[in-house]
Order: sequence, then structure tokens, then C-alpha cells
Amino acid sequence: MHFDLNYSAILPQIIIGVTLFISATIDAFSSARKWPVGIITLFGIGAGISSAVYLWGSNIVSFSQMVSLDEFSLLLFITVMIAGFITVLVSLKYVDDMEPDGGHFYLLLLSSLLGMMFLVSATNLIVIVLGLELMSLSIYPLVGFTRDRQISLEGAMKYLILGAIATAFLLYGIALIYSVLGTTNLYTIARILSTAQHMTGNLVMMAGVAFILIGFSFKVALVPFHAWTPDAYQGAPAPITGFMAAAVKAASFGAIIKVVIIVLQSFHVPVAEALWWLSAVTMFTGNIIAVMQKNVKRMLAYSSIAHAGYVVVGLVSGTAFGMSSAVFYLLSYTFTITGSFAIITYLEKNDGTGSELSDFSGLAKEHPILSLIMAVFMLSLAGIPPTAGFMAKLYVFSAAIKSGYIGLAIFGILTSVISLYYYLRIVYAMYFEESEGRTDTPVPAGIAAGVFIALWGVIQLGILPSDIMNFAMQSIQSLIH
Amino acid sequence: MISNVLLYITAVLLVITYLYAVIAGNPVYSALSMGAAFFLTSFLFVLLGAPFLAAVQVIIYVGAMLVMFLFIIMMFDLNKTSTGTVRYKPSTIFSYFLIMVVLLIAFFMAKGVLKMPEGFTIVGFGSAENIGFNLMRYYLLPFELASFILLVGVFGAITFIKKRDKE
Repeated sequence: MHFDLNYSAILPQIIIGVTLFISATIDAFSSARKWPVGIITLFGIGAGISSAVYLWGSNIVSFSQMVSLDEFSLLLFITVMIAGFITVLVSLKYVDDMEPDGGHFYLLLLSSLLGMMFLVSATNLIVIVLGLELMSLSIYPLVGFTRDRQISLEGAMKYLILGAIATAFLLYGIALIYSVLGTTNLYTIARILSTAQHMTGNLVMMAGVAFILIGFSFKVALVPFHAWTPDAYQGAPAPITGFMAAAVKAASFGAIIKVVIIVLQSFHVPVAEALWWLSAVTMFTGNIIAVMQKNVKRMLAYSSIAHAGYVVVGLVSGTAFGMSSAVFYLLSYTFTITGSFAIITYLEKNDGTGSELSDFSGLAKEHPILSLIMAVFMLSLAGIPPTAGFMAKLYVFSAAIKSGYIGLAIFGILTSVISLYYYLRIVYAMYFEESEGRTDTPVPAGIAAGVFIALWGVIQLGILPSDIMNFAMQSIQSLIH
Repeated sequence: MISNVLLYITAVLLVITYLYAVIAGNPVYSALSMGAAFFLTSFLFVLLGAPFLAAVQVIIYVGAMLVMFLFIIMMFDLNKTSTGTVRYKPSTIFSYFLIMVVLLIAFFMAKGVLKMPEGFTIVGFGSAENIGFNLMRYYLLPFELASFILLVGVFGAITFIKKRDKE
């Protein structure tokens, strides 16, 4: 193993880490209203995004081959940091309303971003586990941040316990692989597997791969490992639900894509078969149960389960185009879901109610622009042109068809038709139902800014997707070389 | 030879103590049984030639975690629950055995494949010097990342226990 320290390989992580300490210091010396901490956090994440854009094109592997800075990790850095940026914008007023002296909200958000960034840039299974844990351990308290709500604590507890089980599975899988190959370095594993042909018959290795897939499936909430999702998503504060759906999912999928591309080429057939079933069951179950929901947060939780299924369709195809379409899907879903939850944040009341379907009735009369934007987000989630969601689904399904998985693509399209029903129900409620008397507060500036950034992303990716798709292709190419 | 015999005895005792930790009705018995299992695990490390890991196992798991478990059990006063054994649902036991069978099959099928990685030296592998050298050199980044995880633990605790000024 070659020993080297190249700090530019973790420059974006260093920026986020330093921001964490600056924010913590300001948090300690500021008054009970914590929006200044949020502003510092915004600047830090902005600097992180700029550094990631600046470093685009570099390819550095450092810290004894523990992390790599390549286009793949940079694109996912940008994805999770955009989700973090919008979430902080949306939370500026929300945090002060919910919890006096609640500056640790921003600190936990930053540390979870840090974990995600190490998770997607890791080239060693140990760093993957540590990044995943740093991310998850920061998210559990954020889910229970509104600790006066019973439902919030319940969600946090369920997420904590099932998340710990998921990590146990992941660690066990890694231990099994280590026992066979004697290394946790992804590149070394790939090299050994490419020379040894008999490995697919090795059951310890197979069990290790299966356990790792199960551990990740918990994190991205694929059916049948999704049981925690509805409760955690409904209980969490609305901005955090958006952050979980966007960033946690993107980072975990980033790690899955990386492991599948680098390591599991020689396991492609069994892994693709397992992912095929996971994807089909996830798309079906998520969409069917979402139809029955009355609470919008819970509905979007099931919808996020279904969307994880669509991302897996891109993985099943196994080609560079399929992987790129999965990355594109993650970026487009990030914009759409953080924007939707920004609007839900505005509607959510201090006691946690306000996200029922009936709370959306007649919203269009009082907030015509907000309702229009919400309608655009819903159409994007359903996959209607000219939004980001349409292009994302188009890429994913065409990748599946090109690789010969026509049945899966048709199944995915059919389930999207089912999903149209519940997304349009929100639009219907906003435009065609009578309002039940809503206390009218002006939209806070932070939420408005967050919503417009998300809207820009949804329109940009929907109308001019080819540039972003090229970036996604480059990012996947940087892993394959 | 002696160490092989010791290994099997330790292994059997380990299974018994961990099993009792799971099925004991009284949480204090459960925790103490787990403590015995921690000691046995540490003995396993000694047999494998890793004295440093053995010491850390005792210091952290028995010294810190087990004591914390016992404190929490006494704080919640869970002592009043039954002293028999816990009854699990048949489905739980079934899925447990399913996983066990899969793993056992995997291990027996793979007996010939498991081998030492290339460049692996047994002499001094688990020594304190070797672990310290690797931790501070090749595993520097994971080591520092772990310190961030501890920091997040503090943040998480603050989230739930922080006092509010009552207006």
C-alpha cells in the first residue's frame, strides 16, 4: 500500500468540515435566534459547490487509496450539496420557529453532508462504512429534531434501530468479503476478481455481496427493506424529509453505483438479477401504497420508495449509459423533491399538522404562483414533459430497453401511470377544491428562494438535459477507465 | 494443539453466553451474560495473537459499554420483569435459523477457498506497534473520520436532552 497525503483530494470535504467548526463556534456565541448560523452554513455549502465545480476534471486518488476525487464523486458532491443548500435556505425561519436555540440543526446537516461526501468518494469499504455511519448518525437526531411531536421521536427511533441493523448487514458483508480476498480496497478487490474466474461459485463471496446489497437497500429504502421509510419521513421536520429523500438517497445510490461498477463486474449476472426483482417490487409496492395515503408527506415517502425503484432500473441495465441515467435521475429527483418539501415546509404548522391532503385545498386562490410551482413539481415526479422527471424516466427506461430489459421498462411505465393518479390529486386539491379557511402568512424569503432554485433545476434539466447528461456520462467514464 | 482445544472451548462458551444474553428474561442477567461473552471474545483475540485488541475489547466493551448498560437498566428499573426466558415468535426463530443455515452452508462450501492474503505475515500482526503504525499511516483518514462520528454523537445527544427556558 502506497502512503501519501494529498489534501486536494478532499478539498470539498475540508471546506464543509471547516464550515462545521465555524458554524459551531458562532452557534455557541449567538442569541436564541439561529438564522446567522444558517447564513454561515449557506456560505460554506456555496463554497463547497464552487470548489467542486472548480475541481471538475481532476482525478486524484490519495490517503493510501482511501478516497478518490474524480468526476463521479464531484457530480454527486454537487448533487448532495445542492440538496443541502436548498434545505438550509428553507429551514432558516423554520428552525427558529420550531426550537429556540436550535443551531445544532445546521451542524448536524453539515456533518451529514460530510459523511455523504466521504461515502461517494470512498475507494475503500471501510471508508464507505464510516461515511455511511457519519451520514446516518447525523440524520437520526434531525428526524427527531422536533422533539415535542410524538410522531417525530417515533420516526427517529425506528430509523435508528433499522439503520443500525442495516449497518450490521453491511459490515458483515464486508467482513465476509475480507475473509475471502484479504483486502477492503475496491481497486484491489476488482483486480483479484478480474483474474479469478471461480469467484462466482464462491458462496462466502456471494453471501458477502448479498449482505452488502441488503445493507444499501435499507438505506435507499428498496422494498422489502423499506419499512422504516413512511414513519421516518412523516415524522421528520418537512425540510429534513426533503433532504433525506434527495441527499441520503443520492449518496447511498452513489456508493452502490461505485461498488457495482468497480467491484461487481464479474458478479454482473446475479447482481443484475437481484436488482431486477428489487426494482420491480419496489416500483409496484411504492406506487400502489402511495395511492391510498391521505397525508402528503407519507404519500411522498411512498413515492420516494417508488423512485428508488426507477433509479435501480438504470442500474439493472449495467451499461455506462444506464449508470449515467441513474446519476441523472438522482440529480433531477433532488431538485424536484427538495422543492416540493420546501412548499410543504411553508404549509406545516408548529404542531406538525398541515400536511394532510385537505390542507392543500384551494391553495391556488391564495397563492397562485406557489400552487403553479407545486403543480410543476408534481408533474415532474409523475414524469410529464417538459420537466426533469420526464427526461430522467426517459433515459432510465431507454437504457433498460437498449440492454434488453423490455419487460422491466414496460412495468416501470405502467407503474408511473398509476403514480400519476396521486400526484394529480394534489394538483386537483389545490385548484378545484374549496379552502377551509387558512391563516394567511406571507411566504418567507428563504422558502421562496429555495423553491425558485429547485424550479430552475427542474425546468433546466427538463428542457436542456443533454449538457447535464454529458456530465453524468463523463462521471461514469471516470470510474470505468 | 492446546490452543486448538482452548479455541473450541471458548467458541462453545461464546455461543452459550450470547444465546443466554438474548433469551434471558431479566435484563441484568442478560447484560452480565453479555459481559462474560465480551471477556471470552477478548480471549479469542489472545489466541489469535492480538493482545492489543484483547485489551481494547476488555477496556471498551466491559469497562465502558457494559457498565453503561447496567446503569441504564438500573435507572429504568426494568428489574421487575420476569426472571424466566423471553419467548420469541416462531417467525423470528425461523428467520434466525434460516440466516444461520445459509451462513453455515456458505462456510462449509468455501473451506478450501479461504486463504491468507498475499504478503500477509503472522509475526507481530496484531501487536500494538503494528496496529498503531497502520492506524496512523495507511488508515489515517478512516481514523479521523471516526472522530467526526464521535462529535456527531455529542450533537445528537444535545438535540434530545437540551433544556429549554420556560417562558
